Amino acid sequence: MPTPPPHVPWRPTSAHVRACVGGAALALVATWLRRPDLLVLAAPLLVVALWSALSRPGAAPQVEARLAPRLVREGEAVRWTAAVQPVPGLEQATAKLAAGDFQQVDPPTRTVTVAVPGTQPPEPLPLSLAVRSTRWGRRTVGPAVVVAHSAWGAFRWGAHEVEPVGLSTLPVPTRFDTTAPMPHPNGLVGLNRSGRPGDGSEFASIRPFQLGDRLRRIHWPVSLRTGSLHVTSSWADQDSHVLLIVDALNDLGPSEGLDGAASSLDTTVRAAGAMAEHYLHRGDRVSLRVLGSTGTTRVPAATGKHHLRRVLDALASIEVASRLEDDPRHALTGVSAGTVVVLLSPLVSPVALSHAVTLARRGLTVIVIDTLPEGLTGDDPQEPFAGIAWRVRLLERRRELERVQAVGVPVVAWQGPGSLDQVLRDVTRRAAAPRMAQR
Amino acid sequence: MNASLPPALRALVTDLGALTRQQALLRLVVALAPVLFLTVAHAAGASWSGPVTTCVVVLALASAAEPDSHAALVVLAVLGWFWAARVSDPTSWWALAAAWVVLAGHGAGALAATVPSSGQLPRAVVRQWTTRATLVGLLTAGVWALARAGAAMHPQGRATLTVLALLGLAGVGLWWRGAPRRPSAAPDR
Repeated sequence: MPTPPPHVPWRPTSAHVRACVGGAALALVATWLRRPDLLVLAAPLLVVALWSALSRPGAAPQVEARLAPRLVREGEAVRWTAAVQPVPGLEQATAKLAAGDFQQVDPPTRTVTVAVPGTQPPEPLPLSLAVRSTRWGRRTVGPAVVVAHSAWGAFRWGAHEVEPVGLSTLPVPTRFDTTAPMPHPNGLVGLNRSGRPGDGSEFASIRPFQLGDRLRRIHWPVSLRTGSLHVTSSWADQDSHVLLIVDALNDLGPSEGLDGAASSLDTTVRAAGAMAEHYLHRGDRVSLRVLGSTGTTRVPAATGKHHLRRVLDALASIEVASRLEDDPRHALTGVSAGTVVVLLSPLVSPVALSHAVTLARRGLTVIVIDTLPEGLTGDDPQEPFAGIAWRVRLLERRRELERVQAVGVPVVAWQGPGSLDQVLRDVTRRAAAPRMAQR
Repeated sequence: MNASLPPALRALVTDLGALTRQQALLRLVVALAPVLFLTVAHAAGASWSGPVTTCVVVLALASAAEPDSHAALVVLAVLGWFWAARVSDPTSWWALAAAWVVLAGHGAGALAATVPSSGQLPRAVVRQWTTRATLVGLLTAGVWALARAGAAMHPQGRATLTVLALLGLAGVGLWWRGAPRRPSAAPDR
């Protein structure tokens, strides 16, 4: 929507004052002293002043800022444009964009100037800058300041502030892959070998022919040897439900965007995106739960490409530690039996661990992924005891992790592709054995 | 080092540190134009004056540092006074050179003030300003030729009447500016 201009008038600049006052004073003195050389000195200033006064703009221009597109992935660039509707007398317009977090602007001076062509076009003047978003999240581009000048820079309109424009940046999932089977596939269709026989690709056994068996499943060598028809049976292929729990209660370590160091929340969000992409691509159902953030905190289980977009959008809306109260008793809401819960957390807050323990005690398969960046020291020149406090907290954290692992919750560090292979195989093997759970 | 400076001076230092090549060139013209003016005045017969030169240099540096200020107007006043007081030949062709220097200094300062110190001017803007400055320079040459021809004719007249006529012209101009106009083709929004 165009911004209302009337409150910003055209004002004479110091250059115009100089031309008028200097030129007039020199002309008067030249006349008074009968000095034609002073009149020659005054001539350029008077001409410029007269030119400027005759071409003074009357109306205020309109400015409209827009961003295209308004949804990008990390590392992609958008184009911010302030369209200035030209008015008679406007000759030059300049825009300066305010510096934003995790935004790279081209040109780096964040300033752009355009001149009105000789014949004023009816279309607005585009003051355009390329903005590259280097970190996931919802931010604004701007505000910006727009200034317009008339001929000879004599009259100035502005500085007119242009409202910031919202930009959503989806996380770029890191590389993730796993070849390990899922422990409790209990859906309808998928790629995971389930625990019951059915139509699938995984060999189960050779058994006597039953009514309804397909003829192409007849195993002729065994049938000839035994004298009765035998068929090969397979395990059914089914999909799993993966619940991703993202801990947004803390963001530890420096975040330098896509091209630099990653904070704990950067690693968490990108890993969650990678896992969601992987499992949705395999046909599994994925749901999302965010701890410690306002906005979209739950994404129900679903599958498909559009669902990946929903998950990434929810991840992009995370605001760290914007909602500190989170009752672990609500952890079970919307979680069905057989769900594989993956908790991604730097494991500094006990809230996330209590969620993991609550879910594990209900018999669910819970895997905790540690996303704490390596090499964090907690040293702060302003706080002499910060380093010591951080080391104490790390000792407590180690003890908490040992207690969680004693409950049967595996904790692995995020290492990208293959992070879950070993732990999923262990969990699948263990899932085949009977165990006790609180119901 | 910057932390010990007052905020305004710190902002100025930051501003100057972010100058683009174009801005640096424009401000160099702003700073050098008054010195060149003094040199031209010396060539026209004026004697050097240490205090005036020092004052002009300091003010020129100030106007180059802050093109969007009235420092350049003070420089212009000092230079005008210096020329009127020290140059005795009113028909010298050095007056035309001095006028061109004034035009260059004024134009460079005005152009530098239209964009931030870190801003880049499009070529179209630079070309437009150069063309216009050339046009004004030619008009100034015409004024110089007229003035020289007029001085050769030794016209009689009264300065008081001329000043009153100039003031009358200025009044007519002001009246013309304030008079109601036809509405422009572009609708007011």
